[in-house]
This record gives sequence, structure tokens and C-alpha cells, in this order.
Amino acid sequence: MRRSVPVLALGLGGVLVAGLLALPWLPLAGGGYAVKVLTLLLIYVVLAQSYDIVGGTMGYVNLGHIAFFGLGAYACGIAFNAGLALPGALAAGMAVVMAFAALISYPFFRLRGAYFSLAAFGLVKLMENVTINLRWLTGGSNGLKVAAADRTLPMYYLTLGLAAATILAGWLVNRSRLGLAMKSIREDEAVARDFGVPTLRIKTQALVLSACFPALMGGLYMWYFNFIEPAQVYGLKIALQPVAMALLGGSGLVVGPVLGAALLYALEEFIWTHVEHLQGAILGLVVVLVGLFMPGGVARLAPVQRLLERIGLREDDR
Amino acid sequence: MDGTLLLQLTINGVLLGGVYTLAAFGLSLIFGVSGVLNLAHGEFLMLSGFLVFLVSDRLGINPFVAVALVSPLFFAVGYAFERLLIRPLALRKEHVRLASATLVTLGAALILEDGAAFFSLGTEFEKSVGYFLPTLRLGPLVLPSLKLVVFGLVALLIAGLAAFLKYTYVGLAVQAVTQSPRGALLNGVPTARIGAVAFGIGTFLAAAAGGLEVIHSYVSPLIGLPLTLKYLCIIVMGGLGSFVGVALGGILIGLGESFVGFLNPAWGQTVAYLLLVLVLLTRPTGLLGK
Amino acid sequence: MLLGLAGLALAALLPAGAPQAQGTPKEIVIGGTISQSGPLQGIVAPFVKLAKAWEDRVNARGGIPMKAYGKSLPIRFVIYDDKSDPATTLSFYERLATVDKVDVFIGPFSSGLHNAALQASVSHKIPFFMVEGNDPFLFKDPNPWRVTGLAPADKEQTRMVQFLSKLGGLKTFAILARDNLHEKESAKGLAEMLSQAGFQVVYQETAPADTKDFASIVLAMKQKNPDAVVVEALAPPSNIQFLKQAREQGLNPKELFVSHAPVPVIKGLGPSSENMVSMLYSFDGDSADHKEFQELCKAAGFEPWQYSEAGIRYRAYRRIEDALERAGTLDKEAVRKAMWSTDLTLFGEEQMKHDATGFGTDMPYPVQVHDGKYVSLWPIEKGLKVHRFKDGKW
Repeated sequence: MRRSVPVLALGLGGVLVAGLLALPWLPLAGGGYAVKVLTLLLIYVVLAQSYDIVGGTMGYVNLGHIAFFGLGAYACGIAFNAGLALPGALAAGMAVVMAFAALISYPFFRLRGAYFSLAAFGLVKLMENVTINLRWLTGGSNGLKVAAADRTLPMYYLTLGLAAATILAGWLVNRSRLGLAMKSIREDEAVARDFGVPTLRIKTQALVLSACFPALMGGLYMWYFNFIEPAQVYGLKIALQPVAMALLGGSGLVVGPVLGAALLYALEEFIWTHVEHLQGAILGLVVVLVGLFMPGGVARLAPVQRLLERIGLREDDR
Repeated sequence: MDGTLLLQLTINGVLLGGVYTLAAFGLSLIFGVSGVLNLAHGEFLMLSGFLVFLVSDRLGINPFVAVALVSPLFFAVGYAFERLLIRPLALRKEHVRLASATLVTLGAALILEDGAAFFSLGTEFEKSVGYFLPTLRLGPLVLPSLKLVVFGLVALLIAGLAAFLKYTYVGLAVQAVTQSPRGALLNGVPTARIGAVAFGIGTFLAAAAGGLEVIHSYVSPLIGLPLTLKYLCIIVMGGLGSFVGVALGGILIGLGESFVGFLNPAWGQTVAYLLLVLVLLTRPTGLLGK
Repeated sequence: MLLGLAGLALAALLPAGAPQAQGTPKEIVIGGTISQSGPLQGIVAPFVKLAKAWEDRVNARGGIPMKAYGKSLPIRFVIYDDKSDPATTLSFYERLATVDKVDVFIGPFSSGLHNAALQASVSHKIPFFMVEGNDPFLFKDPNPWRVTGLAPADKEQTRMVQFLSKLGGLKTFAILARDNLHEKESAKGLAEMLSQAGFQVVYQETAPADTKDFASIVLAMKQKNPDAVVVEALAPPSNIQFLKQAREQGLNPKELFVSHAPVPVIKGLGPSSENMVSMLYSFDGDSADHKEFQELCKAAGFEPWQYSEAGIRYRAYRRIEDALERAGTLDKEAVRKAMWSTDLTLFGEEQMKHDATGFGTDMPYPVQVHDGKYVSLWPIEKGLKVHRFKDGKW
């Protein structure tokens, strides 16, 4: 029993590495459908991972995280339609979102706990409504269109890169002084402040950092799908998804959100192709079971922790 | 804007606030006692409306009788929900418990929403009871009867709850648990059972609201989560742990939506969230929160 | 997770699909989605059976004659449930193109879902026969691969205005539209046509899609004292809520017009639904097409008046059959060309043609609720005799 574990770990670790290395070559193998499927997964990874910077490492459950995504999508789309090429449009989108994050940081970080979470959520709904009403700018309920083109391949590579960057950022933050300060805020903010941690500045930095990635992702999303509407990028389901994925996988661990996103997405795809009815209910059941039996998410399960240890991805936990 | 119109808009706003308060109340009670933001709350509202519709449409029973029959059932539903899904989480560390409770209630919400959609296949997706309670008139003013009923229930509720909390053992226990779960436990209060009772009462209130909603307007499988989140925003705006705060928050939003909806319908839906954000930015623990 | 990822990687390495078989095709595959679940289910769910009924009928007479292959080919519908969701719709249309390898697309219900589905038509170059989609937004970018049978959304209420002009007895109109792609356009067009016909629009507003309480809007309408109240809302929730609150708040117009009011709305209002006016894509008559249409509805298990959009579906099937026959081949470019040059006479008097943008000529007809059922108000002479004003009675 003991001896088989290293072999199993090595085997799975090997598959993991092989799988990851194979990703850039996927389109060449002719898997058109798989490329699209994977692109969507990578979008979720970016959203879940970036959410967890503030949600997991810092302990502020930001139910409004998706605001950065939606704003980034709209800003980039509007810039694109105004004549900017993609890099310029993406930069414009990111600038708008980062400024927005910095702006809301001070007022919103006076709130704690559920107050913060629901105020952030309220902000998303507000932005959705404002987007619908500013028809001249955003197209309102008709949605926003950009020039259509088939951008599957570049989108895949760009998203792959962005996902890697997001995960890397999460990992670096975790090991950095910023990350240490964030964790101290998570554990006990009052004490952290008493010890001289500049809590507001740290929180702002964390928020702005967490906003960059969904902003870019939103811009790419707009570019790839050619069309967005308010409910699509500010809606309830997509707002809750990164949170659910992070919690499912293990919020606060770098590997958590990736794991959660991949698991949830794979589960969704599986259910979608194998079951005709009650798909949402089955998904819900899985979520309930994880909540009941896997406190701290899948990544914190003892067997998973042992596996991660074997392949060198185990992190220090709270 | 003349006086009658102003008065009518105010009446409409207050009554609308009453509707919000009835459903949000239960959520506040559950949070106060269990510390859980029950994301499945709106689903129970929806399910109750669903059942009331079936009972009155297929069996021909008077809708109000149906509400009176169906709502109490949901006390048991809430109680069982707490025992099965929330109680097991009680011993976890706080942030783990919160994360788990979020997942559990969210998952439950998804199951109930999808289950309702499944049982709606081949029949009505939106369910609306075709029963009309004639409107009361007070001179030039219109008093929508059903909303009055809801408002009356809410007023009764607040009075009843105040008395309950002050004069009954269970009520005192609820207060104790809300203030300090540990302290209550140390004093011999059966906190676990109180938690389940709170869930039961809260869910019963949601069910009552849902039953009335299907008569007044409609229910569909999709209304659950958006409503839950709106109610969460209301209780947070009012101040977590304050029941009067819920009523205040609900009525404020009702008034806001009534007036803004009249002046410019396009911005009617924005009011609630704008108010929430504004209130919290000026009072970080809500209107009457601790 | 690891297995999942590995599985995905493996699946990707498999060849994209079997090489195309050479030789004559064996059948014509028509692909599309229908909302069998979700908010739109109440409007179109039975249309899966309708398509099957049409399929059986066509195949019973041997299929569609294809000149290029020297024989008739049977048709086969492949229809998925899009769950009333745009993202799901697009996924399925992608699947129809890549996995089911359909010859033509038939559209889903609503402009919103068409918006999603049409993206598949461009990337896969498959002729797309739109059905219930007629908003100018869909036609903003030229797309040679799609046409619709419907007239533009802002002309949708043409026949209603014609009827009202002949009816008389109404002067002022209040219009409420749900803030959504289709409803806004339709309401805008209605307001323009009414003004041109000499009516007065005293109130015109849009309400956000998630409005739940209409008391304020009803109050604002009451202030203007309109003769007729118009509600433009595609799917039930909005109109049931509005109507119930209009009744509650004492808005008692002489005429009540609800653009889309399927059976759940009638039921939700109970006896108050009496004399409510709405629109349906069919009218009374005894042409061969009328008979065929009624038989198809019966085979699908419903009466034509219960599902207002059934008529559009039928017209779409006829367009598809006609285009395929004229093309004579399943070559997608040839079918595409034939799709654009439709010239049919349906129901004895309707001219079905497409304009340069891709719009068609289909428009709905006015109907009225009598005893919980819809009664046709067309032809106008007949409608004028049958019509009854609501006269503020709920």
C-alpha cells in the first residue's frame, strides 16, 4: 500500500505535466471543439484565481469581483469600436478597471464581512443597471458588438498565457511581503493594524492587483465572442461562479481555485453531455456534498494534500 | 406633483416595503441565530408559491386557504434543512464554516431551482394564481388589498416577534444565541435546537411570502436566487441582527422604487442597490446594525 | 481533475471527424434548437412535435425532390433544447454544425437566441433559416448566410394598426415596453405607426427586464388617462405582473393590448382576461395551407390559438422546403442563393419574399380573448363584427 503511492503520484504527476505541456500544442492536433472547451475553462481559471487573491489570501469575500470583468469587457469593446487595435483597447480596459478598483477601495474597505460582500454585490447590480441604461455608450439591453471574426486560435493562446500569468501572480503574492500583510489582515485585521500594517494601502493594492486579470480577460472575452450583453458579464450566475470555484477547490491556496475551476467545469461538461434533465440539480448536489464533507475545499482533503506534497505543490496553509 | 399622487406613491412604497420585509425577515432571523446567510431562502419562497399554485389551481382550493395550509409545512422543511445541512458544520472554524455554509446553501439553492424547473416541464413555467382580491378605495386613493394583507402580516409579525423574544423561553434563548452562541451554550441553552427553530420560523416566513406572491404576481423556478440576494442586500442595509432594521431597509427601498419608478421607470431597479451602497458607505454596519 | 484534463487532451488528439463520405446524400438534415425548458418553454415547447409532424408529412409524400441527385430525399430534424439560454443555444448550433453536420439551420425562438445562434452560421457557412427573429440589430452587419421570414420588428404591429384604424372609438395610447432587444423595436414601430395613423401616444416608456413591481408605472399611465394600454413584452412574467397591478391600481382602459399573451397569462388573469387583444401568427381561413397548418398543430397536440408562434414555424418549414427544392442540391452555396430568392404565396394571400437586408414579409394578426380562448379578428370585416371593447372591466 505504501509503496504504490509514490508510483501513483509519479504517474499522475507525469500525466499532469504532460497535459500541461501539451496545452500549447492542442490546436495543432486538430481538436477544434476541445480548444473551445479549454478556452472557456481557462477563462474560469483566470476569474477564480484572481478572485481568490482578495477572497482567499486576504479573506474578503468579494462578491463583486465580476464587476472588473464586465467593466473590462465593455471598456475594451468601446475602445475597440472607437478605432483602437486590440493591445490599445485591452490597455484602455485595464486602465479603466484599475482606476475603478482604486476608487472604490477606500469606501468599500471600511466595510467588513457580510457587509463588504453584499455591498460589493450591490455594486455589480448597480453597474449592470447603469450599463443597461446608458444605451448610447454601451448599447444597453441590445448589447455591445465588435467587428466579427473567427479568433479561436489567438484567443486560446492569449487566454492560456493570461491564466498562467494569473496563477503565477497568485503564487508570487503568496510568497511575498504583500501576501504576508494580506494574510495578517485575514487573520485579525485589528491586530494587524496595531502592529503597523498599513491595512488600507495593502487592501487597495490587493484589490487593484486582483482586478487586472479579470479586466484583461473581459477585454479578450469581448473580442472573442464579438458580442456581450449586460446580463452576460454582470449576471448572477457568472458573479457567483468564481467564488463557488474557489471555495470548492480550496480558497486561500494557490492551487485551490485552479482545481475548483477545473473540477467544476469538467463536471459541468460531463453532466451536460451525459444527462438530459436535472443538470443543475446534480451540480448543486455535488456542491452540497463538497460543502458538507470537504471543509476547506477539495485541495485540503488529506489524500489530495499528500498527492500535492509528493509532486511538490503543497503550500503552507493557515 | 399633487398631494394625492404623492400620498399614493408613498402608500405604494410602504406597502411594497412590507412585501420585501416579510420575506427578508426570515433571512435575518436565520442569520442572527445561526450566522448563516441562507442562499436557499428564496428557493423556499418559490417552492411555496409553486405548491400554493398547484393546490389552488389543480384542486380548486381557495388560494388564501392554500397559503395557510402550505406555509406551516415549511417550518418543518426549514427545521430539517438546518439539521441535515447546517448542523454538521457547526463545529468548524469560523471561516471554514462560512465557506462551507455558502457552498451548502448555494448547492441546495441550485438543486431546488433545477428541481422546480424540472417539475415545470410540460406545464406552466410561470405560475400565477388567477384570484383577484378587489382593491380598497379611500377617496381618490387606491389601497391594493393583497399588499395590505402582507403589510398587516408584517406589522403583526414585528409585534409578535418582539413579544416572543421578550416573554417566551424560546425567544429569550434566541436572543441569547444571537448575542453570544458560546455564552448561551455555557448557560445551558440548547443552541442546536434553537438554530433549527430559527431556520424553521425563517423558512415559514419565506413560504408565507411566496404563497402571497403567487397570488399577487407570479413565481417561476428562476426567481429564487435573485430574490435571496436582494433580501440579503436589504438585511445588510438595515443592519445585520436588527429586525427593525430589516423593516426600515425594506420600506426605504420600497419608497425609493415607488418614487423613482414613477419619475423614470428605467432607473427603478437601480434604486435598491444604490441605496444599499450609499447607506453602507456612510454607515458601515447598516442603518441599525451593531 | 487530472483524469478529466488528461481525457480532454486525449479527446483533442483524436481526429476531428471521419472523412466525408462520397456519393449522393441519403437525407436532408435540418438542425436547430427549441426552448423546451426555461422561461420560453411556455411559448415554443410543442414545436418539437410540430417539426416532427412536418417531417412525417413531407416524408410521407416521398421527401423533397432534389434535381441534382435525380430523386427525392427525406428530411430529418435534429432539435436540441436550448434551455432559453443564449450560451447554450450557441453551443448547440456549434454542435449541429460540427457533430450532426446539418445541411441547413432553422432558428430558435426569439431575437435574443437568434443573436447567439447566428454566430454559428458565419463560421460554418451553413444556410440559416431564421424563424422568430426580426430585430434590425440582427441585421446590422451583413450576413449572406441568414434570412428571416418576418417583417422588421418595427413593422410587426402593422395589421393591428390597420384594424384599429378601421375600428375607431380610440384616440389615446399608452405604451409600455420591456427593455429588451425585440420589445423596444416593436414598441417604437408601433408608436410611429399609431402617430402616422392619426392616433395620439400619450405615454411611452421602457421598463427594465427585471422590474417586478409596476405600481408606479401604472400610476404614471393613469395620470395620462389613455383610451388604450399597450404592453410589449415577450415572455409571461412581465405582462402578468403588469396586468395584475394595472387591475389592482385601477387602470381601466377601454382597450387592452398585450403583444404576447400565451395561455399562462390568460390563466393568471382569470376572468379579467376577457376581451384582451393580442397578436397571433395565424388567422381564420380555409385555404389548403390553413388546413395543413391546423392538421400539423393537431398532430403536435395543440390548437393553433394556444401557441401564437406556430404560424411562423410553419412558414419557415415551407420556406426551407421551397428553397431546397429550387436549389435541387445540398450544396450549401446553392441552397443559400435559393434561400434568398423565396417567392411564395401562403395561406391564399400572403406574399413571402425577402428584401436586400434579409427581412421577410410575415406579420401577425390581431386576436381577442373570448371566454379564455383566442378568437381571430382577421379579416378586418369579420374582426370588426366580433370585436368587443374591454371598457375598463376587469
